[in-house]
Amino acid sequence: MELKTVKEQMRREHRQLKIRKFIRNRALMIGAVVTVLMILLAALSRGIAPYDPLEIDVTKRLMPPCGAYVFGTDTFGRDVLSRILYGTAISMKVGLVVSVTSFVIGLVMGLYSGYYPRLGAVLMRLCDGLKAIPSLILAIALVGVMGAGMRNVILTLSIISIPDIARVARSLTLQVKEQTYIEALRASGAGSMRIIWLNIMPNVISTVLVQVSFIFATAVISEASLSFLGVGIPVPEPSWGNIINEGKTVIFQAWWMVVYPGIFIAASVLGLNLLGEGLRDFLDPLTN
Amino acid sequence: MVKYIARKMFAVLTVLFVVSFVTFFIIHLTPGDPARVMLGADASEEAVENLREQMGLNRPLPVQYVEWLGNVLRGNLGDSIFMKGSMTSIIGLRMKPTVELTVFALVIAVFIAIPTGILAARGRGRLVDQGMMAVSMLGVSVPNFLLGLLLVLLFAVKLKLFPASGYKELQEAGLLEHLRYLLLPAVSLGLMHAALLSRMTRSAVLEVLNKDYIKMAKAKGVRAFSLMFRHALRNALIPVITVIAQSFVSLLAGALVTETVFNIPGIGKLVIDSISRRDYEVVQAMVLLIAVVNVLIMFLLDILYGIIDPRIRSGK
Repeated sequence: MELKTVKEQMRREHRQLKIRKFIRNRALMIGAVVTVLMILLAALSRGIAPYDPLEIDVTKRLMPPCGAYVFGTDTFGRDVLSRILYGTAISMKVGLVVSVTSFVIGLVMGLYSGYYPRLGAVLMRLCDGLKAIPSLILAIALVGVMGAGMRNVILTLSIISIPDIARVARSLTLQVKEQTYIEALRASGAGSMRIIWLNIMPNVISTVLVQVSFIFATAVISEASLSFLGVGIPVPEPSWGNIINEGKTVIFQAWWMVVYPGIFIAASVLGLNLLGEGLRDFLDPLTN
Repeated sequence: MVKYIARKMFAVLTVLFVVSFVTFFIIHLTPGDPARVMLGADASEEAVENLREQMGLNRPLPVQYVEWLGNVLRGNLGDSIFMKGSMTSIIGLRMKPTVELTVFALVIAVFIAIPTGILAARGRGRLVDQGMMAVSMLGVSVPNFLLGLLLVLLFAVKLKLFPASGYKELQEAGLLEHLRYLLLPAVSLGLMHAALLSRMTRSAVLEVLNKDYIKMAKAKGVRAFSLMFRHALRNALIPVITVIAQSFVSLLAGALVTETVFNIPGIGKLVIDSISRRDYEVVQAMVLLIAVVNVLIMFLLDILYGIIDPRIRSGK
């Protein structure tokens, strides 16, 4: 091959890389915007909802989308838009609390089980055992038996998410621990506490955060699925999942009760997934 | 090899131990006395006492656990307070639609995911790749039940091509009718999974394509087609087969939701119905069963790898 064509090929590849990097950054941008938007909607839901989401008016039951009811009304004549907005608050609350809880507990578990191999072996077996039961089935069984409700949903989804975070944090800790600078620190007399929190943790945290955004997305999907199955957020309190569940019974008359909450679920989960993917590429020095 | 199997066996047993512990405690998570919760507030004190005795709730927890484990190991998975017959026969009856649905969905997922994954890997970074990855990103972001209902809206409500829900026995309704009822559920479950599977296929093929022996093959002038199918895909097959095996279990879990959407009388519907009837021993038995199937599939895969690849056997 001639030098000129090689150069040209390199230039082309470089250009492709740049384009890809740009597109990936766009994923991060879109993901962040959608996520912030959803959290804002959740925070402001009480203010911007046009109606009371629990107000029943049977004379206005199953009205298709129109000027007064933008997303239509449900089987009890309640405004679907208002219910979706209140549902946003519930989904985001569940997602945020589950992410934060599993992030904190999973990080601590992962760091310590990576640093102390004996402890790690025991904790990881525990995680393996928990992960052997498919998450959704475990969630359905746990919430189903403990009783439906926000608190139990959050508790269950946290328990299920902790092993995922712990595993990632542990495997990274195992890698970082072998680095020469950690050895040097230990030789110069740094304590284990110091090494774990000041020297290992900062090297682990960015990858763990990427995982947390996927946990957030999974928590939103799981909450919606649980509520759809009738074991999540109990009616009449509105949540995306239970609005769709009610819509399922009248699917031949009221498509809007399935489609609109569905768009909110898909948009927020897609946003969170994009955020995670974007973040991963952004934080990875190898993608430059 | 024996040592390798023994090591894996030990890992499986510890995992099963944790699983048994978690499942055992499911019953005890009820707010208050399990027997009282299961029978409801109207039940007489006598009936509650009877159930408590039958479930062994009067004994200390460790004794209960050992007894329960002993029963499970002898194949006695407990009793349903709602349905007659042994747990195994109840589950056996409901197993058929679920397995059918799962296998059908798996076939759909594999047929979509493997070609698209390969195409995306081949055109890495180009429009094909980005388009497919965007579609699969959307696919993993839509929950299973939502996709099912959207398909119902389109194909049952709007176009009236398929029934919106229900299940027809193969013997009673004939093959065509049977498949007509099964198609929408299987497609909704399969498409969901295809999204995930095609991503995995793509990254598995990409990883192999970067290997030296592929560069070597390319350098010596192997044609693109043969390079992809004879050299790359073959070596990418191990991770892909793992994913397919794992898919089976996660599809089984997904079938739980799909069955509720389409009113299919399988084990998923059984679990959900049992929860609303507070028939918790059925729930417990199902969780245990699915977890054990999962663990055994993983174990068999591990053994299979050990046979295929001696490097895995030696543990490094």
